[in-house]
Amino acid sequence: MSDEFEPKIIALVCNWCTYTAADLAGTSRLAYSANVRIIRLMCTGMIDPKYILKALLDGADGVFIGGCHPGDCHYINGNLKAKKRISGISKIVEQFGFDPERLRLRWIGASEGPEFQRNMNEFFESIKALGSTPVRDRMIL
Amino acid sequence: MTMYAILETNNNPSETIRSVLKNMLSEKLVDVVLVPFKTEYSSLPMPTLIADPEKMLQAQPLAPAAPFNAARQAASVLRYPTGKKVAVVLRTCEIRALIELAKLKQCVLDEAILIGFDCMGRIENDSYLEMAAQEEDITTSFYADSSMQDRITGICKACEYFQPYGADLTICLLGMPVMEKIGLMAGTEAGENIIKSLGLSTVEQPEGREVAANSLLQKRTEARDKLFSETSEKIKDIEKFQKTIANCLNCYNCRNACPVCYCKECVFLTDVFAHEPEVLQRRAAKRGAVKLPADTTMFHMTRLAHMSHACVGCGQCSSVCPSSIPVADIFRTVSAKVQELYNYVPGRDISESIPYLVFEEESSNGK
Amino acid sequence: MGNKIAKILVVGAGISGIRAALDFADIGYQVCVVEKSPAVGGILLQLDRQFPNNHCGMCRMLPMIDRDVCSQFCLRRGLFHDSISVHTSTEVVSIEGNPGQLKVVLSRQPRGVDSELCNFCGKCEEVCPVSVPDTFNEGLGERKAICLPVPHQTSGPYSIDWASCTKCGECEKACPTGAVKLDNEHETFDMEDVAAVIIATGTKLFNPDSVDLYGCGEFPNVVTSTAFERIISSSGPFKGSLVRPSDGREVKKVAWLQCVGSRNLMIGADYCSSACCMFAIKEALLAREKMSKDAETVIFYMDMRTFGRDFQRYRDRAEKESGVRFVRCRVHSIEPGENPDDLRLKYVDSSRKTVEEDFDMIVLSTGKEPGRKLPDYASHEGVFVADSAKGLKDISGSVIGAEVAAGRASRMLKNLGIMPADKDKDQKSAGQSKAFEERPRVQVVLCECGVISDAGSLLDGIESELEKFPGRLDIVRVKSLCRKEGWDKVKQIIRDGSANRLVFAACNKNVLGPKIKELEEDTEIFDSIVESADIYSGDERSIDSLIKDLDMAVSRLRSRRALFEHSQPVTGSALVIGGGPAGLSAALALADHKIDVFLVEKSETLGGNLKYIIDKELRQSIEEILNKVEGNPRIKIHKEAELITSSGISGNFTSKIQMKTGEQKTILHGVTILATGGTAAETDSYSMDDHERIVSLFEMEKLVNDASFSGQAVKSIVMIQCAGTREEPRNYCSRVCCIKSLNNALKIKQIHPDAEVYIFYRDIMTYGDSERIYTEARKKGIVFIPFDIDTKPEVLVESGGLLVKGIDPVLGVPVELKPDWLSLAVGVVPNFIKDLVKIFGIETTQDGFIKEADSKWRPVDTGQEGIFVCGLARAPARADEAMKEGEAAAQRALRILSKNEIIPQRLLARVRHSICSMCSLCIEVCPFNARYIDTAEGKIMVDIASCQGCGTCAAICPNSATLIVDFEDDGIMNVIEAAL
Ligand code: SF4
Ligand code: SF4
Ligand code: FES
Repeated sequence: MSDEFEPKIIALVCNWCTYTAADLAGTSRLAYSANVRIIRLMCTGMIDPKYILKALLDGADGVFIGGCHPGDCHYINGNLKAKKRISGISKIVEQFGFDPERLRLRWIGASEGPEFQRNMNEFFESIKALGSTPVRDRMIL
Repeated sequence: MTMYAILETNNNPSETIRSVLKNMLSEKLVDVVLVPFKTEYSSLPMPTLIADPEKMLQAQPLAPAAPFNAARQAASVLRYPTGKKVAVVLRTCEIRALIELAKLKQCVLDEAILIGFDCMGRIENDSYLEMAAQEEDITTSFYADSSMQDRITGICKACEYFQPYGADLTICLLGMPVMEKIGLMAGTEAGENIIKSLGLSTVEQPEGREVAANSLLQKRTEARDKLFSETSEKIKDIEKFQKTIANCLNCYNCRNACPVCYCKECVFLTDVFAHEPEVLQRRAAKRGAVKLPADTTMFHMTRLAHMSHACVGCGQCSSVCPSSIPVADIFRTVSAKVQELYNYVPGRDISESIPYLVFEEESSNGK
Repeated sequence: MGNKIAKILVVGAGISGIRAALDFADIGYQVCVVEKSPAVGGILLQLDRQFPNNHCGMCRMLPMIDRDVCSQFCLRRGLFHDSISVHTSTEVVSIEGNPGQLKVVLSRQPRGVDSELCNFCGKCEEVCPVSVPDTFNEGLGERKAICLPVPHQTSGPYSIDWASCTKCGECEKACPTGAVKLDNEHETFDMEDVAAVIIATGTKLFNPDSVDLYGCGEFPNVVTSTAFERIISSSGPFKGSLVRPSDGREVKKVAWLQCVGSRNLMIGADYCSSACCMFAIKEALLAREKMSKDAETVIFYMDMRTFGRDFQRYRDRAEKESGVRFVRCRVHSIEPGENPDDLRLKYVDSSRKTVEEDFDMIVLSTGKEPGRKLPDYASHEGVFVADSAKGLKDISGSVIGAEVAAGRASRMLKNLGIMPADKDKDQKSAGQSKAFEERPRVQVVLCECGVISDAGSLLDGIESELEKFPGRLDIVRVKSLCRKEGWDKVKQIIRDGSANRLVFAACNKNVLGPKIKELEEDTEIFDSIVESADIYSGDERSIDSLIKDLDMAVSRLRSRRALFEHSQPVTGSALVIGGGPAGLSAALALADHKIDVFLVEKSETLGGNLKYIIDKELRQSIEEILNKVEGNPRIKIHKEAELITSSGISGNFTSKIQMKTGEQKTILHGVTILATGGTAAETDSYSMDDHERIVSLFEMEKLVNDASFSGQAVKSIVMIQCAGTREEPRNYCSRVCCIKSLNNALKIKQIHPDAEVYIFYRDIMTYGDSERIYTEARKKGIVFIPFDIDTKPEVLVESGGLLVKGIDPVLGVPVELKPDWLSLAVGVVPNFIKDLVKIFGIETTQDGFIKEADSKWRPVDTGQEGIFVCGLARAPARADEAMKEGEAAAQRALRILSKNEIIPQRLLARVRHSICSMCSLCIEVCPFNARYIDTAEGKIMVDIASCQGCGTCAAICPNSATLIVDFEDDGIMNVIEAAL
């Protein structure tokens, strides 16, 4: 294996749309980095700020959050609530030297398998450009 | 137009306020008063609930000390309506915290009379006790001698919220010759009624107040910005931040002292962070080594995530930290960004929604 | 007969079919759905977003209370429900027997691939030599003869399209699991003891190839609206970029032609297909999102039929905010443009000029196919036909129609004494809690896969890493999990072993999914303690990455907790507020299901607007229901009564009503149906109050139907449509006025053949079959004069007479009319219900109509579970439509009322009271109002009927006092940790 930097990405996705899109990308054999770990949640509205902090402090190079398009959320507006919360978290982690680019929120509908692939690839590239997380190789207390 | 009354102080502003509070009790304008109070056993004034007007003698309404942020104590008296009127004399940061607690349904302010004062800052408990050993009436000298005001905490020096928000009555010290007279200002109808019932004659607000407020604001803002830039430096990357919090003992004193951390039990004490042995061992196996108690960084950042929008900057978290970690500096610095993002000032207005409860109805992709 | 599990057959798996099937399953029936095509979902499979909000949300049709029995994912990917079996590629041949015991003969076309064996590797598709136009993408792009018929539906295996298959056998050879069977013999089979059949076959769309005018098939850039959907779909042939089929060039100018195949007497289509106008506006809006700013979208139409509650504002936004151009005209011809790929439209515009305009692309708004008839068996007794099988319906129309059909069928069954099987109260849950009582012991099953060649060394690597895991982990290898032998071995291991958690390391979860279900039935293991990781599909991956997946699966399982047990009792009665057509029909539908109903009516009579209805047939049908309601002992009628308070949660409400006498009465009920109705609107436009001969269309109706009318001297009558409506502040179509005005006009012509009748209109809204009235009115010589919102006719009262000024549409010159009567289409408004809105905590639209939970998918639910709405209270409706909505609301209510208690589902919020600070943030953020404070206990409670387990509350709860079962904070964070 080469020493090239392979970003580790956590994707927190909602069950109804983005997870379905990820699954569709899978069955349609639309490839993206194998270093993306998808974690299915019922809704982005379920995303506790702790999850994002946990991922960053445990060494994720990027955290992708994917939910339904506004209006499509199975739970009416969980995605919009998530958006509000995530904007705050992003402000916080930024103060501690995490580039806000490491946190990305996107809406990807259930039938948008190619969108999912594209987003994964784009995020992967942008994280790659940012370089490894400041957490890597450090002892985090 | 706000209602304003002038009170003579005769070199003892505390006494003046005491007599106002006493009259409020004896005139039955309120049923009880929560106010800092010097017990027989220590000079550190403790929030005390007074029902007997005669007990008001020991009250220290303007003492430059706050053993802790008394918003919690006020909230416990105001947990739900009892049909009695409760006056609470609090510092600005305490009122702000109380308002945040009311938004979080920890208390109901309908029956409360909020009495605030222009806050010149507080002195740390240990210094206060030291000073008290030498001086009988610190409060009077604190207001008489402005050099003493330099002994307030660093976080107070950087506080631009020294004027009470949303108080029914404000004790006005800014721009006043405090040793001669001070002001009493009504911010609400309830406050006006009290001024009227006490039979105080009202006047126009003296001009000096605004000027004095502006100059103090300038001073405080400068100090604040300095604090922000110094603190940012201390946390600006994860390496620096680890160094800053390296001596944290996970004692959670900071969160216990925080007036807006309202949880009955902090999540870090629940099973959520009581990891199974498998988890800890696997973590050690993957990272090579894990410091215990684990999740120290997680704790501080999570507390920021939960409460930074509501941080009133009272500084109590720093005051109680056994390892002298500048918790308050970090909180204020980070919170300033979050509060700016949400255009939210904690305690500004009880009708203002907590930012996480309001969100745009529609929005286009991501970002 | 009572004990036998009553089976319902639903024919068609589009929106209506799915809705009807779920309705029956919700009230406890076993349902079998047959679908002619190889996939479930109907037309929706091809549409990503739908009007009137440009969102999808089809998943909102899934059960909200009994969620555990149904898969929780996008419905466009298939329907999986424990009580519903789906047979695709299957058709009904015949139906015989008596209702309750029907025998249905079915015929199935084999897919050519064994669903048990196919693992979606796609090798067959690679080798198949036959390429044909991709039917799923409406002929745009190509696909193979063996393919996934709907690429995003993996509920079935690959399928062979027999029409194009040459039986060369290449796929058979390529398939590593031997799943392909090149045998297309139709298979006929019987289904006995079917209690009832619902026909929900939907409507076929008109194929414009058959009409030269449109050039469809001739010009590649003329496409149907469905094809356009595929073009803009991200899963479509162009991956969602808006380009034209002929040369892949970006589309900058596109036109929609309305009424293709509809409202066309030449092809026998004397109807309006009802949905195409909105469909076109939606497409134009979606297109605009994809196009550059200066791009143009134009809709050519005759009448823009925006007759739904919020449709007019939708159109207005499209026009004013998004720049969609609307041109009223009939297009004469489509020809190639300057550039032969372009298309030139020739039409006469509103200033009567002939215009030629070039477009990159033309979309034909195709409606329902004319002349299609229902099969003979549709009229068999015990067979019920959903509305959408009779004519094109929008989504809410299809949903309501399906609910009506299902409701009527279940009323019949109730009458016959057939009942759904009593659900054996969760034996499973006992086993579940046992599994959680003990410390997690995880069994990892590694599939040795018979297909992948070097699986062995991969498994060695995995095994040695897994051994390093702390905690109890048993590892076993099994050969070919996808085969019966392999699977039997798994069952053996589970039965013999002591594991209480199970992880599969195998392949595609589409393959494992159904098998895990089966495992659940055969062993103590149930699906929430089973996880799988796909280690074989996709590109080759490092051991490290596979181990992470397994670690995540293990972590997930370790944190699973027992379900908590609290069921909620249900009071089996209903409160219906409003005794108009909608309320009456709701009440009767429930009473027919042996449910006690309290019917509360404000006025002294039942019937609502019945007193104003003149149409004989309609009157009769309402009166019939009214009589039945009055004679039904289960329905307690309270006239001149008003609701004053109501509290409680779905299944358990306590309400108080007050009679005129001041007497109060407390009612306990499980659901509430709001049918508060509406009335004729008032307007001051067109000098309404200035002359006694200016009347509303309702008064006009009375007048022309009065015996004295024939005695009047009538020379000329003018009608003005949309008086004070379809413009702010009352910017919606009232739905009833056009039809009423036309009927009035025809009546006038019948009585006074020589009288002139002029109708000033903006868009004639004769949707569906009512188009016939419009056709007839034109035949009878009624004069139609179109106007726009800024070219309204003028009404003057001069020397005691009326003068109406307008502009002649043909000549473009001013016309002045002196009518004997002027009728204004004033429209309808909802009754004033501010107090009720407050009592129930529900929302209204800006016009005061009660808002539904979802205007497409849950049209008669309100945002508050257990409270339903129907009729004019919700939206303008004709009385016959309102009655149907009443039935639909009753059907929705039955989901709750058919239960003795509501059983908690696995995915649910749970409050840990001991650490809850009662900050109530959760109450504020809950999108379903599922949370409340139990004031007596001083606790935050979760209404398990309303809670959907979305986790919004848990995310805002700072100290995890609220947790979502299966998504607990510690579990998720452990999974994150495992992933890194
Ligand atoms: S298993 Fe066979 S039938 Fe299924 S996709 Fe693979 S090759 Fe085709
Ligand atoms: S917010 Fe909580 S209580 Fe409300 S539906 Fe979602 S999970 Fe259930
Ligand atoms: S369900 Fe997808 S974001 Fe809420």
